[in-house]
Amino acid sequence: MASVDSGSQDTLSLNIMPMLDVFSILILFLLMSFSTDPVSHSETLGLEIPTSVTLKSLDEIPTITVTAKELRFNDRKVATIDPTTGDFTQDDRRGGQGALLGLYDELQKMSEASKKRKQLSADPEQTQTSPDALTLEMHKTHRYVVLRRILKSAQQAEFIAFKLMVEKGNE
Amino acid sequence: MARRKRRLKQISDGPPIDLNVMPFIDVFSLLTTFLLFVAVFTHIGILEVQVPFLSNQPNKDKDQTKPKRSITVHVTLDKNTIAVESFFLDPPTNQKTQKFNMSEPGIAQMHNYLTQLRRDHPTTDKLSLFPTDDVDYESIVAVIDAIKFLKDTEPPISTSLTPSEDEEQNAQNSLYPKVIIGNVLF
Repeated sequence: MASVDSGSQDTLSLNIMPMLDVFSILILFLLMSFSTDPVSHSETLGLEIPTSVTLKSLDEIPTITVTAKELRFNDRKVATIDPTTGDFTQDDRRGGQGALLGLYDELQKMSEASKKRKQLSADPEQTQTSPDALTLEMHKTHRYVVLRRILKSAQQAEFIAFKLMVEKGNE
Repeated sequence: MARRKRRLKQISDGPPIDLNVMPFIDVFSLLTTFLLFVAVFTHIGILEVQVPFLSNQPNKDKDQTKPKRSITVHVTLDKNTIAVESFFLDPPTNQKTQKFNMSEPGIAQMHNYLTQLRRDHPTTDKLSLFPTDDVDYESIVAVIDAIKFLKDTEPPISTSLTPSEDEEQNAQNSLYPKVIIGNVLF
């Protein structure tokens, strides 16, 4: 046990048992929170997501992240948001019906890869299912027009299901 | 028993035993640092929504157990107002429109109205949402929350769905579990 020699014959003993107790409880709590959520993902820096009462946990890392200034697909910038209009720049909106061309191209590649993977799969039911759902992390102050352009681009690439990333909060 | 007593006597007679807990504390410290570093203190969830799509696959909704005449519910959002429109596709359409303010009490009133609508027409579990371009994302999520989930104090809605569908629906006391964002076209 740790001890301090005070110079005299008496030995001063440091009682570290309460510290060990606190450590044990802290580790137990941290291990529990570590194991409950299937996917551990922190909010992107400078991005605030809305709060929801949903109980469904995040099950995959978001594919599309929309910060206050830009849109990132798999952590790669594909479009810029004009701060004056609050919409994507004219250059990014070159896709059909106001969709985002850069995002559409990326999603199209992803969709084709997903289709090929399903075709190679032995399960005949899986080959008939639609592409996977896209997980979307978006700054809460954006207007719907931003979301609409993303949904449109994804719809054109045959993605129809979306998971909007939210912070779990109480009612 | 006698052997144990002998052993205890030997221990008490001998020099005091000091347990070296330092390696234990070292491991604890490292483990705590690692866990604190990787811990996520905000719990992240998801809200599932869909967009309309064209498909050549057979319609699953054409189920024999479901009634042919079912109600359609549309929710239109603009910056200040929420409009809930309900109607039947087949005549008589019985079209009804109810408007609410885009505020916390307004969203709560809309939730109560939709709850009553769902209890009156329990087979319809799908709702279409039509936000306008100027509505902010946070308000859209707040409205989707009010559409999708019942409050803890509200009793669940009894439906005539199949057991698997029912299980999915009641996983979290759902109101309208399928929310479709209808206006993605420009």
